[in-house]
Amino acid sequence: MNISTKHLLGNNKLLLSICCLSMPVLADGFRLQDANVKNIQKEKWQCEYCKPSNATKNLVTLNVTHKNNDNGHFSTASGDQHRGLGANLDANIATQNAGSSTQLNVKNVGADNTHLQVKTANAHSYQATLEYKTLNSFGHNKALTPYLNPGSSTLSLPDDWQPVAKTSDMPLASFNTFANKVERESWHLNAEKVLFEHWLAYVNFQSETKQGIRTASGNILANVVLLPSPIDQKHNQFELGSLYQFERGSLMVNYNLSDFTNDHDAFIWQSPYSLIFGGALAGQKSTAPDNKQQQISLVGTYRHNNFNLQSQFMYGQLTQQQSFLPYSTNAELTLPTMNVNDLDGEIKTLSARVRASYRINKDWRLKFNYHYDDRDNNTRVYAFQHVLSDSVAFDNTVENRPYSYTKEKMDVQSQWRFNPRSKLNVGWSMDQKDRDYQDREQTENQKYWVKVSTYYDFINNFSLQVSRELRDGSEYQRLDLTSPVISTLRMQKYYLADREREQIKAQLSFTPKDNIDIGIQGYFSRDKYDQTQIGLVKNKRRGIDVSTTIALKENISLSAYVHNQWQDNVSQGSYWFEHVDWRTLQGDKTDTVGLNLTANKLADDRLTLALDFNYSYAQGNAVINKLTQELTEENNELTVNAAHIKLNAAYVYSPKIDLNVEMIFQQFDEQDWRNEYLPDDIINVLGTGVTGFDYDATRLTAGVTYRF
Amino acid sequence: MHKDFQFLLTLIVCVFLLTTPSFAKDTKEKRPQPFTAQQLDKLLMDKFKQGEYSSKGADSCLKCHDRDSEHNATGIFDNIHGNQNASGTPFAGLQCEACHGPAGDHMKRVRNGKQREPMITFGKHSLVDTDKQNSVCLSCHEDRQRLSWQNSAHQNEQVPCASCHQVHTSADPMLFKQQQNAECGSCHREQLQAINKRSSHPLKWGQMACSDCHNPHGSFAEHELKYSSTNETCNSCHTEKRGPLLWEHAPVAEDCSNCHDPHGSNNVALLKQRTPQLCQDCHTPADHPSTAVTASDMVNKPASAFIIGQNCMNCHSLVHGSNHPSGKTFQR
Repeated sequence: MNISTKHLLGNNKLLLSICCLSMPVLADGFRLQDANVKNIQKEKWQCEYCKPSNATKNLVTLNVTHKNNDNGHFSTASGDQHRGLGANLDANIATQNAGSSTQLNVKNVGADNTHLQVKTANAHSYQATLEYKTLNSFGHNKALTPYLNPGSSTLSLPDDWQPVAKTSDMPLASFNTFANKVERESWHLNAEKVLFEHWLAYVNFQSETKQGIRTASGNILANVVLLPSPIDQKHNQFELGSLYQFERGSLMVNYNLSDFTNDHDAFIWQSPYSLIFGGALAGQKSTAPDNKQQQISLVGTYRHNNFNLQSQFMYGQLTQQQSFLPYSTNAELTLPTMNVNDLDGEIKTLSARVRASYRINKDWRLKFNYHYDDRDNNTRVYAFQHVLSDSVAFDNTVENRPYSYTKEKMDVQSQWRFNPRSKLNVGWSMDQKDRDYQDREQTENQKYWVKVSTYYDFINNFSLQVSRELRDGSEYQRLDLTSPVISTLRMQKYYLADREREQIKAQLSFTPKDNIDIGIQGYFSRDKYDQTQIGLVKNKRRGIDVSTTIALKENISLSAYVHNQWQDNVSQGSYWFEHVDWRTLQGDKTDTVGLNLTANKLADDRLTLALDFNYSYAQGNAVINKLTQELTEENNELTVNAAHIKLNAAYVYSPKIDLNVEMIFQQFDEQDWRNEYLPDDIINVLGTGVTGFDYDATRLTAGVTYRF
Repeated sequence: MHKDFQFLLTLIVCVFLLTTPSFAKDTKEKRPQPFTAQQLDKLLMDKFKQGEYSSKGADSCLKCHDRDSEHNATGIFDNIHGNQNASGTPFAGLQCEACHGPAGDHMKRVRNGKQREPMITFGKHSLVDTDKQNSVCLSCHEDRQRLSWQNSAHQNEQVPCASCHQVHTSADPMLFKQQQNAECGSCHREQLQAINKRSSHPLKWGQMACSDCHNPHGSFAEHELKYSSTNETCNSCHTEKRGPLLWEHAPVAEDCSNCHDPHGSNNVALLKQRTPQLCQDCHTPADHPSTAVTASDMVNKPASAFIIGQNCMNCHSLVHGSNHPSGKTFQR
């Protein structure tokens, strides 16, 4: 199937425009501005009963915690790595006067992940928000490395290090430890001011620093070391804009600047391996270069009764002028002088969005969307000497390939309410991508879908959606860089390949008794790559979710859910590129069950109890079929067990004091032999000694809230 | 066309036919139903135009809808909507009737056989047309965060504002990350359960919220993302992968979701498929001929660097792109 898409897109846009402009007009809703207040007599509107409850008072909560485990996985989940006793503070303080209000919200001050926000506003005049946030993620905190200075951009081995050929000969007992950890800290200032009636201006500034150590591998020829790599990055974002709203729509103009800087220009490590033929003593990797993105956008919306039109146009550019590193730090290599100092990279982006909807009558509406994205990479093409991992200088040169692409997407939908409780949605979309320097320069994806939804009596909602997609495109011409041109076997990269996709989603929610709600969801998705013999040939994903909420008593509710998901990927490969030699079926399964029990207003309306339980089990299998040897083997590749229990009790001790007690227990265990990095387990890979997480952890919290 | 697919299409057509007025019996009629949706719509529109408001405003309503009522409305005084002193709030204007419409006769005694005067009600169980419900909220809240509400996915699905937000409480649960995630997940079950997977963004305990990436009120981007594309959304936090770079990895430059499932995965780093198979779905170059390695090959130690640990990325570690003149194969 190869459809002339541009022709198709053009015809449909015209048709839709004609439809929209020739239809009758329907009435608006209940907008406050349209209220008829001519007859109102407000002199008796005393609002005597309009009193806030005690809950609006200012709150300060002091929490004392105790954690019995500081491993990275549990710390990331709980937002705090401290082991043992700790304390943190929450606060909600608000002041109000005639027109303005100020709020201070504080969450977890004293813990690793903290959030603090001050907001002041005057309705229809100004609003300003200052926010401080930390978001840390933790990994293994006792990883091993032979280097003296983990986290430095120049990793050094001890002076007396004896290079050896094999990891098993390295002095593991003398290795240092380091902790994998990424700390994000951000400040955000947002201010908005009404300049004139219906016209406001706003400014946003956000600054985020990211610091820490992350494990990344480095290689010299086939000798690999897992390296404690430094992270010291900063990302500043500035946004300025103005919005004008009028009776039938709005106009907004926006400028955005994003500036990324990295404190490390290069990353160097000494090789712990003995010198191999042509190899280097040290390696040097590039780091993420400093870069900038600027973007200006214009948004316009227009509505007139039953017609809505929205559009956005964006123009932007990304630039990068980071100085190039030398070809290699290996002085033994004879290398030419580079005739360029930096990339002088520049990518220009142009985007347009148009969305329109038209309500033909109260039962039928049409919707139209059009997306256009152009990424024009103006970076020059340079020729570089071909150097491999600081060790080998080839005679040939290699050239960079600055990718450009254009994406166009259009979809048309119709929604018809065929009875007061039922709707039928039908849609079609066309997605076209044009790109360069890739195996296939154009792909086209067409999607058709239909959805019916309804409700009756005790059935709150039933919906069924079915869609079908077909992707093909221009002639597939394999690039010699990534696939063997000698092969007669068809090999299409899965994101460019001909693909047939079928998806089904069904949903049912009903109330069999007044106090019971039940929901069931099922989904199925299948991708087939019929033109592919080597690579991904099939993908299947399906799942079912059943949930229920039961009001056991007026103040006691129970909810429970079960979710099962299965995913299969079938890949094929070839050794000599004459026949398909092997096929792998990767099967993943995830089971999740959960239960929540909440009891409110116990003990004379003072006590609330809650129990939350969640257990998930994941398993990954691989069935490997060596076709030429007629050998099949199935193996379990990963297993993950995660159980989570949360118990909470909140007690109103007095009008000014609340008490809160919470216990969180987590049991986690992952077994994945692919991710076991024992130092000498993998040939020529010096690991960090870490394996999967396996732990039981508990956090106890006792809190006192004071109201004033 | 596949047989299963044909069967499902047939099923849809059957459901469609059985629910059309000529086939379907409206089971709601079995219960006392004061008004049909059409009758209610006409009545409310007429009342809205006539503007017959109550004589005592909120005091009329709160005589019944007090703290002891099943339909307690007093929680509104614990948030900005119920603040009479702040200009522009409902209670600085028409009080309860600002949102619920003129209801001058609602509190009057109901005669036998008659229905109480209806008013504008909110939520997914309301008979009031969803667009009309939402027009009340958008009167004040159609700001720059909600400019794209019209034509958004939720608007298209006829989701009322009140099915997610609560105004008669001291604090709307959607403002708290963990509660927001649970609320979004009440419909988006697959995405909610994905946060329990082995690798996921930290949503489970509320370190992040769905609205950190998506704008539920609509956006111009795919999947209602906050930024203009999938990659721009990812790059807003993972900016180090943005570039421009000397050596770009084409699928990365095109769409991060080619390899990653942002809602969660059983594999490390939210990868859609385990490596090296994921890499081999595109790459079978002549200098790295692919072989099938079975369990016995893998668990016997020492194992091959091609399949264990970071496998392909043991050497090609800069898979998101490189700026090194010798980084063509993402090793530098």
